[in-house]
Amino acid sequence: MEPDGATGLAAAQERRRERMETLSLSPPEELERIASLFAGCPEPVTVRAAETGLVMVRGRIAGHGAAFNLGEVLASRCVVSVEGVLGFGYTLFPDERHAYLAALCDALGGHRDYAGPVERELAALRRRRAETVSRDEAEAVGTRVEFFTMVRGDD
Amino acid sequence: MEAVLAGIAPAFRDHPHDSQKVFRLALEAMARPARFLEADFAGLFPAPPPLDPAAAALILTLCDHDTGLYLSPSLAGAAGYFSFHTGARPCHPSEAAFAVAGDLSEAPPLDALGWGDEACPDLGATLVICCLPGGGGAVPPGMALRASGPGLGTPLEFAGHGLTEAFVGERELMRACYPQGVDVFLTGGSLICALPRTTALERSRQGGRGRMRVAAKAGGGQGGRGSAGEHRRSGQGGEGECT
Repeated sequence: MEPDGATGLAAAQERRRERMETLSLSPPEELERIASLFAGCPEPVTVRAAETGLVMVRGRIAGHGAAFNLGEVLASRCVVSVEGVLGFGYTLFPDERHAYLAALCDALGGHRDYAGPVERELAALRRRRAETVSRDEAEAVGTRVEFFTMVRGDD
Repeated sequence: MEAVLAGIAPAFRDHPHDSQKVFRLALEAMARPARFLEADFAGLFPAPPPLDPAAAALILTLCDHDTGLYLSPSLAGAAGYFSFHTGARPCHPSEAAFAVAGDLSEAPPLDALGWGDEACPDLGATLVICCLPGGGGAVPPGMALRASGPGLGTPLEFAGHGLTEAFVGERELMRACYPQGVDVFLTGGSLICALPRTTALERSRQGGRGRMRVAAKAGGGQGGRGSAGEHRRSGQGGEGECT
């Protein structure tokens, strides 16, 4: 553990958050490939079998203000254990195989023997995703419409 | 974070169907009090020790994030397992919808549990006592008891494994407050037996020791598809059944 317990925990949580985000947003074929790289690892145990259900998405106007219920979306989740290390996988939209693979990769990423190689694979996925996002944003910016409101200067 | 969550054992492999099977069995047990029903709970999932497979299956089936769950001291280590799989929150016996005890000596007294109130007697707690001898192998005789009440056409002699005079007395006092009260499940390995609040217990007049009679084999495990129905049919065909 890092000298400063609280900071160390926060950093670990941040890494975990990034890992779960990457796994959730990456194409399942990529996770399938990563999982196949670790085929020789100890047999994973399914702790909570993949299941699909409804999740209420809540929002806040402009990111602040009171939360309101936006609507329900289908989501899948799964929990896998590799030698006692639990991995959690969540996906927006129903895809139980994807949830299982995300949970498996999360567990491997938390396992001290596999954390390094998994992190390298995930870093590559993150780079690719960042490129896609910035390309999409560049395309979208050309279609932006600016709205202006005329204010009456009565006072 | 990993360290805190490490080592949670799996629950039902096929949660919707497995929990429906167990729920059907629990209904059957409540409808036919003081009879021992058998099912392969251990085949459904590997219950982490010291949990009894039948009790674990009942709790995984019946509890959710709205139910308070009390675990007796010897089972307290399983609190994380149940809160992970069901969301049930650990609580004091008086607030528990379900209480599980490793044996009768650990069980909270019946009057320490919620009995519901006059408007809502359904809020009474359910007590699960892991006191049956597990099914299979040599079965030690239990305290000879006689059960009567709804679901029992004529009084039924049965073996009250792990039960005591004091427990029978407590239940008699509780029955005076009907419809308020506590429903009891006795479990062990592959066996469950229900003592709903309507069932009256007394010392068997025949004396001697009770003999365990497993009413019927019911569903459970992979091969148990649709067996709850078969079980009901086989129950009508004798085996000392009271109708």
